[in-house]
Amino acid sequence: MAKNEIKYLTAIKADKRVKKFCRFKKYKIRYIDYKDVEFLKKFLNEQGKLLPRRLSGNSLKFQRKVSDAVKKARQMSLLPYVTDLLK
Amino acid sequence: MQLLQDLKLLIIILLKMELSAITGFLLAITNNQKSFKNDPLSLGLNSYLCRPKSVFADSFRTMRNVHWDKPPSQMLWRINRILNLPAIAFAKAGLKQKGKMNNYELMVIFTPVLSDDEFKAEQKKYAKLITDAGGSIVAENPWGLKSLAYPIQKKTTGLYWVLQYTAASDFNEKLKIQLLRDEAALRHLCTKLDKYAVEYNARKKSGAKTGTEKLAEV
Repeated sequence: MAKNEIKYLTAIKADKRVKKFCRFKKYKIRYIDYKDVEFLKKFLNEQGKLLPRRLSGNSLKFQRKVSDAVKKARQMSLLPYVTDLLK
Repeated sequence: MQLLQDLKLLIIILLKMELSAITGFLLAITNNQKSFKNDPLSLGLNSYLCRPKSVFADSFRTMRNVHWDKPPSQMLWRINRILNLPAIAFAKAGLKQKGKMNNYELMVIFTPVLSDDEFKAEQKKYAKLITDAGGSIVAENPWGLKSLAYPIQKKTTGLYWVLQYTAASDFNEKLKIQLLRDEAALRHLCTKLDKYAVEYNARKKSGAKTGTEKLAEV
């Protein structure tokens, strides 16, 4: 055992948390196309469910637009309603 | 020129003695001052006098063409907005009322059973429906056969067709009826496009970057 080893009771947080941001605002994407399935898949999980804002970091305005687009895509059978292993 | 028209009006008034004639004459004079622009009452009276029945409809129409610095149809539009008068009156007056056209996008899934010719015939049918109703087609994009994410009417594939068009706001109801009647159309979706959507579609069509590529790295 090394002599100068410092021990902590609780593990310290090594990295600072990165603040989330709205990608649509940052990259100035104003329109979310329901036809662009590959794009929409970024906001879905494996089961084809929408990711929450707390994970995606979207602003409310664009989260709503994403959800609208996903729902349209589902209606037109571009995306499944329920599935396993979407990606 | 102005004097002549005023005289013409006077003569008509003397001849016909219509009740609204005097107000009409007064209006004709006040119209020459440019204050009429912001005065809804004078605008309204003017539209009243321009109605087809009015004896001096003709003279008023010519006056409007001469003195108003905006095209008459545009002014009429404004009058119509203020007074909410029935559109028929304006149509009768020989001035076509221009409705506002909106941008829409239509996506239809046809049955995969259709042959190429039938598929094209269906496209033509709906395109014609739009153009007949006074709309115009902006872009057409037949995706063709594509597998569905889930079966619709026990079919696992469908023929996709995307169409961007402009039409009056009351047109989509008619289109919807036709599409629902159609046996070949499995499903359809009509969306209104805002200005950003129009811009996006135009960029996508020309092959320019749409901005969504940036997200690919994230």
